Amino acid sequence: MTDDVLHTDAGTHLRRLQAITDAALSHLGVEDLLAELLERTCDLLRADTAAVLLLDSSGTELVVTAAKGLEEEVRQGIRVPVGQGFAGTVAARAEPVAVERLHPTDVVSPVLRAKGLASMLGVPMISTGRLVGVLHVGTRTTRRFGPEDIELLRLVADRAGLAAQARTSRLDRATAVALQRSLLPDRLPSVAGLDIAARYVPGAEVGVGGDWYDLFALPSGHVGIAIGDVAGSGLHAAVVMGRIRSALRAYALETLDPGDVLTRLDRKVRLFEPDAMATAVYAVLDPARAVLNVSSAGHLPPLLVHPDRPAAPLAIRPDLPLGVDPARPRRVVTTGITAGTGLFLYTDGLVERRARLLSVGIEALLAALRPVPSDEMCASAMAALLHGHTATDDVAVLAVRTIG
Amino acid sequence: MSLGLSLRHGGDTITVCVSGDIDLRTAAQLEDAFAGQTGGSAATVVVDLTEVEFVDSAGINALLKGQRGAQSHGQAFRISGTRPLVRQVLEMTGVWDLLSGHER
Repeated sequence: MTDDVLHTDAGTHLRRLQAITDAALSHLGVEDLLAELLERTCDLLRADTAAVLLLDSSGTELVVTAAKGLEEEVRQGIRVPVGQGFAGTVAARAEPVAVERLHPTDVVSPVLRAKGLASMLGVPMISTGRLVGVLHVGTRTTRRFGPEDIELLRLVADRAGLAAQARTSRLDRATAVALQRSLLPDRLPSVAGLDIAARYVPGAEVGVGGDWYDLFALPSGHVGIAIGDVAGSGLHAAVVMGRIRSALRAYALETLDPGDVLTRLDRKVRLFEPDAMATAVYAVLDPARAVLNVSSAGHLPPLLVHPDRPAAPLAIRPDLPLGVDPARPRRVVTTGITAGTGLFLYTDGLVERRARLLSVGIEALLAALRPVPSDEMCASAMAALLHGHTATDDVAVLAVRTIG
Repeated sequence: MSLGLSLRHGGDTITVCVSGDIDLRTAAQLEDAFAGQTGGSAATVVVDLTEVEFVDSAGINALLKGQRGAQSHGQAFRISGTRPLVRQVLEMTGVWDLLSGHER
C-alpha cells in the first residue's frame, strides 16, 4: 500500500517535470511559451489563476506580462511596486511566499482582489543571479501549498525567467539598433561648399552604444558640426544619446557660440539625466566657410587635415564632460580654415586600446589622414585603426572638408 | 572579469585600493564600493589607482559619481597613484584636475 502511494507520487512527480521541461515548448515564441507554461502550471497545481510579472527597467515595479485566469491584468497593464502587495513581497524577499488565507490588504492589483482568491503561492524568477520577475498562482478555495508545489513552481519560474530575459535583451538590442539607425542616417544632408562623410560601427562586445554625430545648416548660413559619446551601452545609452543630440540642435538654434550651446546642454543633462556622463565636441563653421569655432566637453581632440602639411590635432583644452558641473565656464577655440581643409571628428572606440597610450592611437590616426575626399578619409581612417582589430567599443567618425 | 577592491584606514582618510580595468563591465562594482564609503566617518576618500591599467568612459563616470556622492556628504574625494596611461585618458577627458584635486 505504502509502496503504491510512493509509486504514484513518483509517477506524478515525473509527469509534472515533463510537462514543464517539455522540449516542444522551446519551439514556441516567448508569449506562447509563457501562456502554455501558465496553462500547464494551473493544471498541475489545480490552481485557478497564474501570472508572470516582469521587473521593469527601473527595477522598482513589476509589470504583469502573462496571465491565466487573470487576463484582465495584462490588458490593464497592472503594475505592482516592489515591496508592496503579494508579488511585490515575493520580489523584495527574493524567496517563495505562500499565503493560506489571503487578506484583501495583501493584494495591490484590483483585478486580483476582485477575483476573490483565498490562497496564493509566489516564487521569484531569477536569471544569471538577478531578479527578473515573479511567478504566482492562486486558488479560490483555501489551500496549503507544500514543498513539492513550491519546487514545481520554481522550475516553471526558471524556464519562464530564461525565456523572458532572452526576449527583453533581444528587444532592447533591436530597439537600440533601430534608434541608432534613425538618428545616424547613412546619408548626411548636403551643404553647399562642404564635402561630408560619416561612419558608425557598433562594438563587438557592447553592441550599439551611445556614440553619435550630427551636422546641420543653420538659418544664418552657419553650419553646426557635432560628435559625442554617452558612457555606457545598449538601449539606455542610445536613448540618452538621442535626447542629447536633439537638445543640442535646439540650443544651436538659439546661439552661435559653441561654448554657450554646450553649457546649456550641460545644464539639461545634469538635471534630467543625473546618472549620465557624455563627452561632445561642437563646432560652428561660419557662412564663408573660413572660420571655425570649437568647444570640447571632455571629448578627444578634433583633427585638422591640411591640404599642404601633415594633419594635426586642433589645439584645444577639453573642458569637463557634460553632466559633471554646468557652473564651470567653457572655452572656445577659433581657427581659420583654408579651402580644402578637412575636419575629422571621432569617438574613443577608434583610437582607444588597452595597454596603449591614447596619444599613440591618435598619432596612428593622424598618419592615416590625407587631404582626400571625406568618404575616402573615413575609409582610410577605419582601415588603418580597425584593421585586424574587432572594435569592442562602438565607433563613430565624421569628416567635413571645405571644397575650395 | 571583476575588480580587486580593498580598504586602508589611516587617520581621517579611507583609501579604496583598486586593481584591474575600470570599464563598462566593472564600473558598477566600483560605484557600489564608493556608495559603501559615502557618508562614513572618514573626512577624505582617496582612490588608489596604482594597480589600474585601463579606464574607459563608463569608468570615468563611476569615479565622477563617487566624487559627487562624497562631496554631497561633505567628504573630500580624490584619486592617487595614477599610471601615465590612465592619467592621459583623464586629461583628455578634461577631468584630471577635478579628480586628482589639482584644481586650476
